[in-house]
Amino acid sequence: MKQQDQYRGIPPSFRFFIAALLSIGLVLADTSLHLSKEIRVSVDTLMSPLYSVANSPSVLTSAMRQQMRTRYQLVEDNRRLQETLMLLKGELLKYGQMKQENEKLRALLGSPIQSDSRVEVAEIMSVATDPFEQRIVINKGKQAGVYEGQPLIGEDGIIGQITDVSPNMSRAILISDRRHSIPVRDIRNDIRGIASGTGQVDMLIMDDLPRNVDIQVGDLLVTSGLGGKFPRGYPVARVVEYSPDNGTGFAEVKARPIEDLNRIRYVLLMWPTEYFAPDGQNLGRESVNYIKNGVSLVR
Amino acid sequence: MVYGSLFLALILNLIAPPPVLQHFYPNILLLTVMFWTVKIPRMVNIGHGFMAGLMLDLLVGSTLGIKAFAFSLMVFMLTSAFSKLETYSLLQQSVSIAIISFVGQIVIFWLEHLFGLAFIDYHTILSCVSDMVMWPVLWVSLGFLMRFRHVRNTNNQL
Repeated sequence: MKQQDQYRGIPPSFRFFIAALLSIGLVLADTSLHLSKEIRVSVDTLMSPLYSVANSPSVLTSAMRQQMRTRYQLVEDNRRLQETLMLLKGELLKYGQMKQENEKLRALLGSPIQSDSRVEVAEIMSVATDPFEQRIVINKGKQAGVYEGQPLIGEDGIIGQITDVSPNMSRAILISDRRHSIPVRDIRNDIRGIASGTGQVDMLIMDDLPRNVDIQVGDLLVTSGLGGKFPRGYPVARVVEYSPDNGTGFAEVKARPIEDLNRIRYVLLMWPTEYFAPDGQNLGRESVNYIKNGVSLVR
Repeated sequence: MVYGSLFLALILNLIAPPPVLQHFYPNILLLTVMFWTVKIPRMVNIGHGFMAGLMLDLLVGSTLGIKAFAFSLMVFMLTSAFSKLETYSLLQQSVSIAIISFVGQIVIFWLEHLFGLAFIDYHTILSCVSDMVMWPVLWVSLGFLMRFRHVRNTNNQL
């Protein structure tokens, strides 16, 4: 009781003053000293059950939807999946041959041979609700070998990259986040550029391009592999708008990410071998998937 | 009960809203802290606002301290400018809460902008409208819960 009265004795303005000082200190510590990284990692580990709880409604609804499927739908799905499998298998036959041919050509040209990279599937635990940020939390961390800056891909294209790694989970930034940029190349004519996030999930932007640049609506932008973070040749976005003159003397290109960033549930973590282990030998090859040009195989 | 409701509100705040409602998602944690500040100012006040904001900062992964500052500012506004909020009619209460939330959103927006994180998206400020709509619901439901528990708690605690 006595303590409570004492507590009441502090005037609110003074109390607010202390809170303000503390939070300003925190902001400064976080932005300039990066002290919070370790704190955040430990808090994240501690709080990971909370994410699961917060995520449970969406898990529950999708589980219910699974249960509610009729027999007819299942049969239909099965048929469709088998069809896709057949198609992909057919493609794969062609692919094996092409890969060999490509390797031979590359050997002839004297350029390094691209080796397969290791991938692993991770599940999304939570999505940032903060409208200023486009972040996700995934359920694999340091123990699975996740590292900072690691590329994340989905079934259609690039999703983002890892920013913080905890023992059992990690945070990733999406390509559409305002603070993310990715080096890309127009697949039609190899024009290079940098696609930055806008904060909108369905929009990337390329500015500072010359006004006469040959980019058309509908062009596919793929990763250029420059910068060394993302592997080369993965689809990123498709151009939806091209405005050569927006008053700045530069062209502005708007593109929509190939991957529907609002609806991802699973992501593929990727360990590119191109840059970090050119010969592909020093990465463990046991019980992993290999991804080959977007078609993944379990070996 | 106070901490239980705050914890529940924190989880509710973390649940991702459908994309359509993204900008109109009410700040349930903020409203809950405000509710307790109005009802039991001796127990819950600026310190709790600060902690709630800090938790949200940590869990959402934004710059530490921004929401902590904004939350304590909003609770401070509530205790200093609207200390008689409990006596207002429910409509007046909602409007006052919306005003506080509006100022708070602007402060968050401004701070995020100051530290180079934000882009211009004024839609987020609109969440104060949904706060206004949400407040009466919270007021009635938490008030009911409180009365329910109050009978046992009157003599020994308050």
